[in-house]
Amino acid sequence: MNMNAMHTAALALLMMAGSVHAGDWDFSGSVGLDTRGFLQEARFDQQDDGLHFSLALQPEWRWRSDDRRQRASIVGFVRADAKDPERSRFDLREAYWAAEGDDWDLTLGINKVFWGVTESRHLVDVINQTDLAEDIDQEEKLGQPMVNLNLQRDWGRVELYLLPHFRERTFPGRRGRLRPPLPVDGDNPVYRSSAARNHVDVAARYSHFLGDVDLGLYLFRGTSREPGFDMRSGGDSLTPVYEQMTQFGIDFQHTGEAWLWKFEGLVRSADSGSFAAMVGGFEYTFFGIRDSALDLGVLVEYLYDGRGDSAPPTPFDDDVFVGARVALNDASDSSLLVGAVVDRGSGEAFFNLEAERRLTDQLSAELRFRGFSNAGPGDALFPFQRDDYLQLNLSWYF
Amino acid sequence: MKSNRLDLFAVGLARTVIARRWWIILAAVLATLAVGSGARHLEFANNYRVFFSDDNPELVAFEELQSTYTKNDNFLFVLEPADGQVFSTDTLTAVEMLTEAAWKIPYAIRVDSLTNFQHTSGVDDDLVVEDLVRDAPTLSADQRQARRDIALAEPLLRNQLITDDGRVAGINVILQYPEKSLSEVPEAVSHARDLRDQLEQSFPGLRVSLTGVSMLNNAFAETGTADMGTLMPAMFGLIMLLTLLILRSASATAATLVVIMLSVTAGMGAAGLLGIKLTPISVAAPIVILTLAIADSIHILVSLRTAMREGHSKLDAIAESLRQNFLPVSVTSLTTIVGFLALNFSDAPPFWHLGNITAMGIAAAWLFSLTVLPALMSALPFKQQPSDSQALGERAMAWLADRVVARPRVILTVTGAAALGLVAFIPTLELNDQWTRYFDQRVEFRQDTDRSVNYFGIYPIEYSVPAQGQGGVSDPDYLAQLELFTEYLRERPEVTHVYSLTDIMKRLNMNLHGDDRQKYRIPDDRDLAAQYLLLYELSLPYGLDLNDRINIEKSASRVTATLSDVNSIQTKQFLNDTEAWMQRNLPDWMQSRPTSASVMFTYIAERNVADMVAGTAAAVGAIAVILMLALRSVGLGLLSLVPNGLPILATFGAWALLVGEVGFSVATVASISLGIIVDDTVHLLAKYVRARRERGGTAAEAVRYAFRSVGVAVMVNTIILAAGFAVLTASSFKVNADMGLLTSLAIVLALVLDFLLLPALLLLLDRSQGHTQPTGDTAMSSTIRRPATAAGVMLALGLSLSTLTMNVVDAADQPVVAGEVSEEASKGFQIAARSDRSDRGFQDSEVQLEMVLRNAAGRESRRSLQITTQEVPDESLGDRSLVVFESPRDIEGTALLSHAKILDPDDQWLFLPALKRVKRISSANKSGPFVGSEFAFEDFTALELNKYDYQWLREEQLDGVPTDVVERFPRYENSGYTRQVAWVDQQVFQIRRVDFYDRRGDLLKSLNLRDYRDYNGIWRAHRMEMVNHQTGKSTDLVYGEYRFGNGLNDNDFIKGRLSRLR
Repeated sequence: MNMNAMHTAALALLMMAGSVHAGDWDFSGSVGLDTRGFLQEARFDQQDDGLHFSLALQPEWRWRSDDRRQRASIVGFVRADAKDPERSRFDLREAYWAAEGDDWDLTLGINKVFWGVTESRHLVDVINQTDLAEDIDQEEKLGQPMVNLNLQRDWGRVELYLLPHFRERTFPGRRGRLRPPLPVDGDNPVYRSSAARNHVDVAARYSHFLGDVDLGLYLFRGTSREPGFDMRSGGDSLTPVYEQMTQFGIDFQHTGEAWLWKFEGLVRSADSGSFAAMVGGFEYTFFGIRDSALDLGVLVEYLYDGRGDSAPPTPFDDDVFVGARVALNDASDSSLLVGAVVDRGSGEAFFNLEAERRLTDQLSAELRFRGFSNAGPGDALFPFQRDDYLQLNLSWYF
Repeated sequence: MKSNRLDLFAVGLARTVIARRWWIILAAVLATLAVGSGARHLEFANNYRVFFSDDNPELVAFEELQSTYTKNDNFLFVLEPADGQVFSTDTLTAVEMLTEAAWKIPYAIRVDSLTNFQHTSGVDDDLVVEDLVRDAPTLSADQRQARRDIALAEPLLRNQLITDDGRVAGINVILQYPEKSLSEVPEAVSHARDLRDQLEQSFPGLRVSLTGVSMLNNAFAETGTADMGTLMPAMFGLIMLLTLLILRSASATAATLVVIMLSVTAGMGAAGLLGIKLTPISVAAPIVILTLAIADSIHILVSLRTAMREGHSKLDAIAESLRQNFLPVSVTSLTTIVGFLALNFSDAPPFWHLGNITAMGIAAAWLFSLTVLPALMSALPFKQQPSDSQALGERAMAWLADRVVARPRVILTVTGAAALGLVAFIPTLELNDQWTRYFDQRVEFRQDTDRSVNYFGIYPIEYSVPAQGQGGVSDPDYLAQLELFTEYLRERPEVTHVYSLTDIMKRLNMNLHGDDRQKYRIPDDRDLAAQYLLLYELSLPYGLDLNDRINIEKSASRVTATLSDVNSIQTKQFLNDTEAWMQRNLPDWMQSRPTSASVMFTYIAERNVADMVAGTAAAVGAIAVILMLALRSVGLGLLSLVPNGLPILATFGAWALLVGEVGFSVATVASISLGIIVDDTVHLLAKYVRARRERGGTAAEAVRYAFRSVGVAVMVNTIILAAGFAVLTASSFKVNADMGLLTSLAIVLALVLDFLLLPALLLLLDRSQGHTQPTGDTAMSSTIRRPATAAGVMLALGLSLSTLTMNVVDAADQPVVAGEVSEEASKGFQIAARSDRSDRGFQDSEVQLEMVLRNAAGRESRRSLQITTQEVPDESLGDRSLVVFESPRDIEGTALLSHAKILDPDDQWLFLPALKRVKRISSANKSGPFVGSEFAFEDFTALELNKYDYQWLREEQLDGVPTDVVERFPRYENSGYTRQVAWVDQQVFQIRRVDFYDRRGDLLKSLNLRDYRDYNGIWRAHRMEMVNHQTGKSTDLVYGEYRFGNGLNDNDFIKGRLSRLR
């Protein structure tokens, strides 16, 4: 497979870097046991009910040269799912070599890059493909092969990206939950570009901060990370269709005393049409409630997406997100995040709860609940209507 | 489609407006009157300080100097006798009279002249101190000659209060305004002018000029008022006349007039309500609002007429006109508002005010032109005229469109090359300011100042040169160094006079040695020198004491170098040379920074230009984004950067070619003209898009359509606006005059580029010929066929903008020193300062540390982290630090970057390694625990000297070490403490213990700092133990070895750095 070739090349590069200069490889990582319990019976045949167990291993090797001008990193990721074979796989999250000077840095290899400021949707984050099989919150990302040059100037930071290889989005398999009515055949997509997954994407980003304002602007041109779907292979699965796009994105945050005002927006011109989308809102934090260490943050965001019917579908066309974040600021870093995204038109809603706590210096626990309601036939979340679940993750760090 | 929805909305709006026209007009008038009533709060500011923001470092340093010594607001009377003899009986009498009378000027606290100069002489061992000239009318010719010899030989008088040829005299009056009312300055000025007039009347042949900082302040207010009174009516008249001529309709002109009046009233009223003070710069706001209100109205009126000629009834034509103009007028207003709000990036508050008033006025103009204007037009008679000038205009537009469509390549090459050619001159622009030149020859202040600078320097530069400790100014070593400095200054060609303590000391030494000329030198003995000073001070009359030369503790003295008529480039050269000289020749403890009004003005241009370049670039970018959204096309948004950015750059290029230098006034032209320039682009692009999408036309057809439908209106607007701004060039205030000329130039260049370059670009880039579906977006996505070209142009723009910044050197920041209050406060501050400063000079440090958290039951948990700190030498800013966690493992790699401030909230970013996300976080949680420990955020970040007020309490033994106990009170917001008590040891000045008191005033925590180690003079505690007395929890910090001087730079402490930590 092509991806394997990329992996091999990246690893070879790293080994070379490592052998040239001294410096120690630092090894760390984590093992996680995830238990997912679905609260209702599955909607579609072949989907599994009840408890889903899976194991995840994330080993990390990091290296930095003695003069600190070079560094390298390898982060692997293995998931073994007891029920859904599509969720069981291996990925290189990072495998890169980087060199840096006073006002520049260059990265070659596989890496993750995050852009954006809002909480309910990471609208402008475009470099990495989403690992959707791993989690539906779109925060899990696949490693992206890249050549990345960053320049830091007094007037801001310029980032230039050359992305030579496209990563296909992962989807839960036939037996997995949280999938469309038909399973997605993620490994055999259709590309609008004749170069297929070898289309070289480019991106340029400018970011800066002035006083209380942080601002980022970027242009991306290449293969859209979001696929549309086509019924091809005999009507028993969906085929992802990746089109070409030019996208302009902006992210903005104003940080006041307790107020964070956030905005992300994009305009995309793709083969299937042009549209604009935005997420904007605020986070207000009550610090040290009643002279305790407890902080309570209130989040409100509005989501708009103006895409047409021929574009890849999204549930966030006209939605409101309301949420709260509680941080105990204790020695165990306990925290709680709850929120709901509600569609203003159809009323369909997505609920999310994430609670975390460190148990010992090496063991942490996280509890998640995700729920869907009010989705009628034709609504974007309708297929997930009976996929409410509770998940407990135990992670051991080494 | 959205545009169709917009069209429906606009038509609906028109119908509603027509149906309820009287209600709308009434509501608009009433609302405007309500807001407009705020205009009565508008007042003119008459202090040059309004040009500087409160945290401008030069201003802060200057105010600090003025509070240490005396104020430097002054009047300078310059007396020129016709016979060229100051030491004639008449002139001496005049000088003496004026010296006496000047004391009566309101707020005067000191008068210096050659008559009341405190001349000293030695009689035996006694010091005689007396006025140099007393009872001038009674002096004989010999006596006058003797006084003349003394005066011309006295370094403190020569070229400061008397020219070295004895032909012209000066009288300097120092004022201290209570700064409570705006009438203080005019009151003093009016008194000074009366004195001048009386003197000229009593002594015919004596010419008196009146200048000085107070006159400058006054001139700022007076010329501003004059502009209000003359330019506004002139401009108004011109614009109404042009509107009437072009529209040929009294009704349309009247309706436009109403829109203008309502918009200006609303903008100015809102300014009054917000308490904005008028300055000669923000006074331009009504003019700008007026021009934009006209632009909106003309677009709607011209479309209305065209629609009527096409056979629509008047009411239908109004609806059609709104339909066509709703989007472009709204987008234009929005983008123009963005452009003006960009003025808030300037360092000078008057520009913020201009931007904010104008933004509010434009919002009003937008609202009124879409409601009141159509309401009025539906009510007033309005007929279409057969074959009027407009038809002629449309034929001209059609002709122009044909030319452009026929030869887009040639036009692109020619206009592009011409514009870029102009841009190429930008690097030759020099930043230069000369504040007296802000006023033209018609202004009295300018005339008087021009006369005065022939004789005396007018730009004082102040240095407060520190000595070592109390009474240190008498130290012979200090005086010898000061003498070197004084001599260096005197040798500089641009320096006309130097006022230094050394001249006084030398004279006293001579006097007290029986006026022995040999002894005209610095006394060798410290005690002797101190005695001389004391003796001299005791003999000085009230108001002429030494407090304007030496500070109260006698630990610093002030050296004033007066410069001749220099500009800011020369001033900067002088300041740089002097700083270099000081560093080479004076010991560290004598280093001093220059301050004064002219130092402030020297750097204001650079500060403003740098800020404005950033602001304008941001505005151009924001406008491109708005256009992308409004036109639903990435390509057209990018393309708009060219016709929006290029005219501004070309204007500056043209200015570089024609004039060659810019002052801080024109730094803002870009922002002012940007909004207006955008108007042209938006209207043309909106029509172009309409033709492509609705009518499915080719690019060529769309260009023709755009020319036909808005070409005339754009042309008319350009004529009216360029003429309007040209009126400003008549202002006697250079800032306004230059701004008027530059803006006119920019508007005209914008028209040329919008009519030639923009259509040529569209024709060449938007190549998809043939018809597409009438409502499809596909036509538009083809416009980005070559976004690389557009991006290339954008890059070129960015580069040219950055060349502007590259000419700008950052002004050096000034240190902040706390003011004096009581003796305990002062002592407390001194101890804290000594402690804080004993740590300074480490540049950067890196340390590994372990944090041990213990709960009340004694259960421990540990975390390890690395802290990197960069020292920011400026005491008005805090240090920068980067904290990276290593354990517990689940937060490994998490990093916190802080830019500490003194009183403002810090800037903080958090790096979350799992997502690789950099998050700006609020720093208002100062009192919150740092990662669950007993240390609050503020315990880490609030280590800066100026974050507290101090009070010395007592001396005390702590663990056998003598310490000073100092109480400190947080000055910053959101602290969890009312006060802290710190024990500072008296040997190495380090803090040994701190008690923290919570918001209720109860003892909350104690911090013990132990295991201090000395790294070549920099002391660091290696163990800090914090105990919370209220919860029983505790946290220990155990530090490893510090590493200093790692050669880290600013880029190691910047947001972008976080993503390369791992």
